[in-house]
Amino acid sequence: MTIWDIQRDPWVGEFMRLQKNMNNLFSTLNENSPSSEYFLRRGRLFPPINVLKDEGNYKILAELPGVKANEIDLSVQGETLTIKGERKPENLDENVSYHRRERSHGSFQRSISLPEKVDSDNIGANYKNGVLTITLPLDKGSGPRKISVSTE
Amino acid sequence: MANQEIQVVDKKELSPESGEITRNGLYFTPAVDIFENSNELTVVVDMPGINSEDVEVDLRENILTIIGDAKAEEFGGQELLTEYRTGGYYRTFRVNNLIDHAKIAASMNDGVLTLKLPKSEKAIPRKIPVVCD
Repeated sequence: MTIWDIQRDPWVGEFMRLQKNMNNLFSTLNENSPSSEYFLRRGRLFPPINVLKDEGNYKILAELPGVKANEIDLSVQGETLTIKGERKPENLDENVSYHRRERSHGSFQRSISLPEKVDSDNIGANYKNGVLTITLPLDKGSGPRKISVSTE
Repeated sequence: MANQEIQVVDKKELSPESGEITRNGLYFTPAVDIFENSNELTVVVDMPGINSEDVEVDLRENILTIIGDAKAEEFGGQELLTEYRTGGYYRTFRVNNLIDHAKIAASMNDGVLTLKLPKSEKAIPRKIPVVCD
């Protein structure tokens, strides 16, 4: 009868080490750990966006509360969409004392490269309740085309 | 300050310490500015994506409660990128009792709720002229 002495197997130690490293990696990516906040925050740009795609459209949603609709500068050049603007401070009165000051203000600019050709003449944008919704119809002509293979 | 770049602040999910909410769905702690001058206290709350009719503001026993309920949006598409999560907002504050409850005004513009809490008469500092005989 063979009795397995797990501790002596060199591969078990190696495997344990790998597992531990993987666990560390996942705990770093866990949302609530402080180190992941560092990872997620790094290189982040305002406004935060969500991108959705359905049958014929891309939909980009951006949260920019406190920005006036006519102060959002939206432009498309080639395959790059740019959102520009400024969030003005709510209060301009100097004679106030602050209890909380969590909302930041200032200018912002963000460019998004579109992964596919969009019909830039028919881009629609709607701003409601601090959320900007940009609808970008896909260019029909740039869809996948079937090419028939002929034999001789 | 026009050249200052705006900072991205991640939404914080409501923590149990800040008061439990007995509602379904995701609630976040909204970013606020609170400032006061000699006449009133102003509370500015970022609540993007919330309709003004879905905002509840309540002040009782010196606890100011602000709730914004999110309408679930149906989108039958594919999510390519998610940088922010959507949900409601909830926050409570303790305010002192020198607020004139009858004159509280709330307005909602571009996803920002502004509350004006006027101070009651007795809380407004009054100048007392000193007369010299």
